[in-house]
Amino acid sequence: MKSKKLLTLILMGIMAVLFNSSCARKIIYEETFGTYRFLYSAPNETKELPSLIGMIAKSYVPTSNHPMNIAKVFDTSYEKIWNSILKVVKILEGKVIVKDESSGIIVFAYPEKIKWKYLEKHYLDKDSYQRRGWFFYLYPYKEKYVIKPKGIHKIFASGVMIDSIKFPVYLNIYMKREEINKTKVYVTYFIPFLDVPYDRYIDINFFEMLEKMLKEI
Amino acid sequence: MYKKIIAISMIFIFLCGFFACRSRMPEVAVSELDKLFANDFRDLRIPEVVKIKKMGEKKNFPYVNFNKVWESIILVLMQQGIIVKASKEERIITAITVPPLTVFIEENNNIVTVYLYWMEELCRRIDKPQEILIKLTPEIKEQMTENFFGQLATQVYASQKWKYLER
Repeated sequence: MKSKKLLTLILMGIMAVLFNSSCARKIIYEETFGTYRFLYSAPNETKELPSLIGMIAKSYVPTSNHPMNIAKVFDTSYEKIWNSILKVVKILEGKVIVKDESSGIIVFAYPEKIKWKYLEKHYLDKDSYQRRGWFFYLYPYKEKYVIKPKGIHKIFASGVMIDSIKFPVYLNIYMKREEINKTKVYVTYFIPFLDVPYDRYIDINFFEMLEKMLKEI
Repeated sequence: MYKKIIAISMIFIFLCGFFACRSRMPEVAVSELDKLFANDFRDLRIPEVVKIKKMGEKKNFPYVNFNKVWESIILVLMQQGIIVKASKEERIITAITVPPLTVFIEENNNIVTVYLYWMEELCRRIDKPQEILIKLTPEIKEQMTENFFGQLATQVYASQKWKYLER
């Protein structure tokens, strides 16, 4: 009889922990990623997650919303670059928001149901460079065209595939003929940071895809 | 007896969990902007130029041409939000930032004038139109306007001030 009681208590304990974990995960999602689309903050700051989440993992997440600034000069024609970008958008099944060739602007959204690769990255403290925690890192994944993640932090582990994400990611692309040498084309892109579940953690190597397309066209 | 205890405890845990989760669910208000996100900004209405010029803020940029200012606006805005409208012919750019904004560019006598209009109306709640989700006091708006024009001026004149930055 005693062993039964003990078993019941253990079972209840396990269930309570499991319940707490699932509840905490939900709160992690809400607390970490927020429910509003935008959340701007000072650069290079970190935010300690609330104590409830600390039960599962003591974590610090970067709150910086500074966008990426990546630019590259391509030694090829403007039209070829433009067509290649359109092909990249097509392969990624992106939804075009703005497309103006004369202005050199393409803005597109990644679809909601694209496959995403999940990575766990360790986050380094800005002052001491000590490891302070981890955060999720997601990036779009296509079997043929693997978009490798980029970033200043070292990636320690790669993990499972995630099938569905609620919100699309937006990508602003701008291209222009180089001012000094008109035969070259200057391309830059930014992922604006919207406060959606992956915003601050998303990164793609757009240029890698673009270079592949240029070789194919 | 054993089964009863487990059943009761499971019901108790389930109920606790259900109410705990419910109490933590935040109320998410839906704005006009959310609606636009849902349909890829197809229904976005750009304010008329007359309205932008009348109600917006403006700043003059001398010693530069239209192309330089146009490109600089794109580079500044594409870092801050989603560019949802860009027409060089109409000289208008709209970006979804906080709050969304529309910029109109005018060139007269070698002076380029940039008009900035904050589209606060897109932040109204659909169910309660009188309630704005992102409220801007005049001071905040002034500060944001100053920041935007400051960033734009840096971008516009950077290549002249620091010539090595010119590509």
